[in-house]
Amino acid sequence: MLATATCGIVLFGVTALMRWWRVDRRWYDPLIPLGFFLSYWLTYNRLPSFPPVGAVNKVFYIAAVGSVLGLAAEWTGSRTLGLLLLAAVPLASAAYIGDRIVLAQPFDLVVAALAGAAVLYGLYREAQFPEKGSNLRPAVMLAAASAGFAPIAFIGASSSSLQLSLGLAFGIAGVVFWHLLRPNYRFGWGSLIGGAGGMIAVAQTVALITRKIDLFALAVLSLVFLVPTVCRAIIDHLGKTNRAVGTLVFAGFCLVPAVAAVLVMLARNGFSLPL
Amino acid sequence: MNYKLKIALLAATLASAPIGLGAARAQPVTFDIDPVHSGIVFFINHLGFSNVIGVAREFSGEFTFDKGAPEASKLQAKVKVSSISTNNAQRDSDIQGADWFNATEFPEINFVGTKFTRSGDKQGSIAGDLTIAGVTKPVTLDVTFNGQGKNPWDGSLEAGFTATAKLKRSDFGMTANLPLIGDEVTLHIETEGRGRT
Repeated sequence: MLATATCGIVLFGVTALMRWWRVDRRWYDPLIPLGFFLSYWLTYNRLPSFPPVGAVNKVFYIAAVGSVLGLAAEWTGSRTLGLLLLAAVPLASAAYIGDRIVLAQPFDLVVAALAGAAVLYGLYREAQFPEKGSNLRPAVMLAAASAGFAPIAFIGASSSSLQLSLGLAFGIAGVVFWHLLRPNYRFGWGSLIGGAGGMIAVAQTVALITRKIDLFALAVLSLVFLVPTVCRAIIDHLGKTNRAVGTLVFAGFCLVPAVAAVLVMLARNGFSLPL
Repeated sequence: MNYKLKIALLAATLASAPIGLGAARAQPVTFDIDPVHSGIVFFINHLGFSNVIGVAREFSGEFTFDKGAPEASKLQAKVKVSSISTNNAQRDSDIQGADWFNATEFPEINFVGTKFTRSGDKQGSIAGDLTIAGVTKPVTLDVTFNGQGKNPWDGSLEAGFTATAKLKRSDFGMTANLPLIGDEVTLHIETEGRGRT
């Protein structure tokens, strides 16, 4: 929990400084990848050697390559590169993480890749609806999904994924806090491909390698990415009256499927801590 | 018997003599680890209160050993990760995951002995390379030679050893739940080898 809190505090502090210095909004794009790497480092107490051995180490390099390419797409303004990465990164990460099972369980890999691409598309789609240039909502969605995924991963036998996911969720919360009243935020390709792509690699690891995850709970959790579609009218209305309230209500809506997914998981699997 | 035949028989006898003498000396024998009479147990601390006991139920291997020259021994062994048990079904399932042994990607643990050192009549050590979850690290086993002889049941040659070692799971990338679950793992191995005939 200390590591999780550290992620939140660090990104809270960095964002506060950035707001103090009034940096351009596109400089906020690297914050979510930064949160992911900080959480990874605090979770595993190391940076993995290269070439990586095992799925949890591969996750780091998937996120690293995704961040570099995503930030390149962001800074060059290349939507084509971004969309290409959106489709390719989940596929590549599923294939890379599941290389040992590609022949035995190819269907699982395809599902993991498609689910990852669908999540990235859901975030990308919402990022296309900026309010006065700021697009906080995909960051909120990613935080809610990460927070909901954490206990599912934990019961799915990955306490490291619990910590990593919660660290990222708290980190994003630290960023969002400073943009509630006067948003000047950018959820760009770096956040999408590096940050969200990294989390997808974590989920693929738990699903494909540890193989104890509750897929039904995961399906319920994926409803987080449909919240904007279902609730857009309400959110837009609230956003016009008070942007902070609008963002907080949106976060509340996103937490509904996240909490529901955890309850479904607990109902189906119970809760015990044998370790 | 003619003279030439006598000479030939004598030559054959002399030629075979060194072989007979060699057979009388101790020779390295290759032993297969007998899983029925061997065991691998590990201990890992839980919250500082107890040491949880784990066992490996499926393992195999072989070693070549000459008690007159143990330094020339050879050893290789492997453990099936899916056979590791800690007396709790959920935990046994959990430790197969990516945070721990990662059985999907690395279904076996391997050990290859590289240096065999004698330190007493029945004491010694085996330095070797232990591979867990795809990570290879040097590990030294402290070994006690329990004895070698004929099995009274079937007459086979048997050799037995007890070995212990301490290692850090974090060295093998297993950092989950540190420090709540201990980093240091104590291994205790009992091995009986059955000599190949």
